[in-house]
Amino acid sequence: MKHRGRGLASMWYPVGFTGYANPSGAVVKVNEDGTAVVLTGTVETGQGSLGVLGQIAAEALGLAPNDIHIISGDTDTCPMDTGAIASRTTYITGNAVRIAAEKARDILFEVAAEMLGVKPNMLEAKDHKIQVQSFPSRNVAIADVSSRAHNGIGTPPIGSATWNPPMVPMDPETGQGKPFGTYVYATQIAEVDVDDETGEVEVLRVTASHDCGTAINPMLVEGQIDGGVYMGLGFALYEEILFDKAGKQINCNLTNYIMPTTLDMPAIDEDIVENYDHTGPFGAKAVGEPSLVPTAPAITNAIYDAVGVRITALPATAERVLAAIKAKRAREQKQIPA
Amino acid sequence: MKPFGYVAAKDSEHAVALLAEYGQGAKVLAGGTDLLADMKFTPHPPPEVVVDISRAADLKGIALTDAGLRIGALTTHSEIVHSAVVHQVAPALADAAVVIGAVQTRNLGTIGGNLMTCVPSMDSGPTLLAFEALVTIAGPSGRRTIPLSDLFVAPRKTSLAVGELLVEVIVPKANLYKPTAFQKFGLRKGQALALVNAAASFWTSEGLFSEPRIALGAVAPTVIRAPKAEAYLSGRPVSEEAMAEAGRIAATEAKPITDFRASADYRRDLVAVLVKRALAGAWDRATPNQKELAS
Repeated sequence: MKHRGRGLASMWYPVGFTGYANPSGAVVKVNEDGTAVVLTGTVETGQGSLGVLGQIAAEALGLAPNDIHIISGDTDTCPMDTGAIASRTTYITGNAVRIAAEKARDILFEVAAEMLGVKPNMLEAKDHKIQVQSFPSRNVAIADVSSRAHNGIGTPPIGSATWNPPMVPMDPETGQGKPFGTYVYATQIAEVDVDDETGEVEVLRVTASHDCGTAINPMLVEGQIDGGVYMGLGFALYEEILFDKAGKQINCNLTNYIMPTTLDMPAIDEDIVENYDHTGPFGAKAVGEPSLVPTAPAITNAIYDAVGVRITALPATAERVLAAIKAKRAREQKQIPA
Repeated sequence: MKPFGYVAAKDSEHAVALLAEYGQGAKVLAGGTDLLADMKFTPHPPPEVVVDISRAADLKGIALTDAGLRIGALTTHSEIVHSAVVHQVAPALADAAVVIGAVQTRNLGTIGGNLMTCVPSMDSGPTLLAFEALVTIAGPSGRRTIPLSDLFVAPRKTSLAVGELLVEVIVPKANLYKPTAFQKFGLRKGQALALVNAAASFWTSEGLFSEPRIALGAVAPTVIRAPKAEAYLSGRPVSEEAMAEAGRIAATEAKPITDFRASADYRRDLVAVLVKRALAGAWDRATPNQKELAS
């Protein structure tokens, strides 16, 4: 017989470690035609980070994302980046790109100020134009400003920047300090059916509510949440590295290291809780790793809600869940007085 | 992959001639889903020659004949899944075919190949055993038809002699429409190897189980029947309790192993559950008319 259960788990996750150096660098140059190039040392691994960095540069420069050409991942030619790790790319590399873009934009402001007869601090970059704040009809095209900067004034608009979350040493007496730049928060709810004869757990639905700061690209945030729930599902119910007595892995290929398939995936409701963080680029924080943290505890809590057993070793395979159900029945049997 | 010889057969007669010509050195290629994996990933030398039968039209197709439901050995799992005649006369065959591997495997893999590879966890075997299927074998001295149960000898070993070819599978006419159901339990839903699979069929006569057949996969060196459980049911009134008890008896007849996928004890637990559910599934499949006769 199947039993329906719901479980909830919440987490916080730290972003941007400060205990030791954690920098990213970026170079942004605006071309004569009003497009721009970003150099970054980070690597796209399918998560969409280069798309987000392009959006950040575009927002800072008043351009569109498809005006931005990104060169990444070449340590010979690109500025140093600590890595596509630790859910840090949007937060740290994003800040470096934002600052580098703002420096290039400030050069454009100097040139445009003279063209428009105003002070540079009265300008803003928007819709491919440099315009006077509150007087958008007084504007010049960024391509014209950039061309003049390159060929007329002789100040090509190039900015470079590094960003490192402020390093705060730990108090040697108390061990206390500020170990991370910021934090994200999330809650997930899993709905499961547990078969009390086979121990099989079917995850029907996961609702995943995530604070990621500003969602620079909401579809990518949803994609990260989907991927995290997938990994959390594997962690909760399927994936386990097994060794023989000699320490050799028994299940070292995809036919016997059991990962969930599309048929095992639950429906996912992604819920983005936007929460502006003043330390992040345009308020953004992170969503990558955090998206898988609450999944397994939400599922094991749902198993408890369904059949009353606590699974304390993962993965909660059908065999382990059935063993726990049988142990619970045996305990209850004992408690019945003779 | 190491180099190997290749020859394509025009039809089953040609295939048998080629198998006779190459003898021990020949391996049959049908869908290739097992053969290619075997040739790529096992250390033993490749076959001298691969005899490709995939173009032999006379080995394909699903049809009702005087003998019953004839399924050509080259019929793919997908063709079984989508066959209107299968859904009409033996729908449990489609239930078993649709959980084999993934869509790509089902589009290439054949029922004949699944049976001839003869792994104990095959998903085609239990349902066909519950239907008491027959298989036709072609060889140098002509054709013979044997019960499917006589095909299975040991893991990856059938009773076919060198030079023989599996031609077709037949669900006997007497067992068409026999209420039958299939159950599979794997470690996940897609691309799963059966930890246990099971099929059950029975007629009913005046409220009693008649000709119950129970078959189990992945819990013995080959797919097996559970004769004690069948004997227990035979002539007993149809009830959920009897189905559950038959499952418990079948569990004692299974001889599962413990490996990294599951323990033998857990597999035995699964046998009891899956047999019970297969029997209940067969009962659900009985037509109102059949049920009325049973009450």
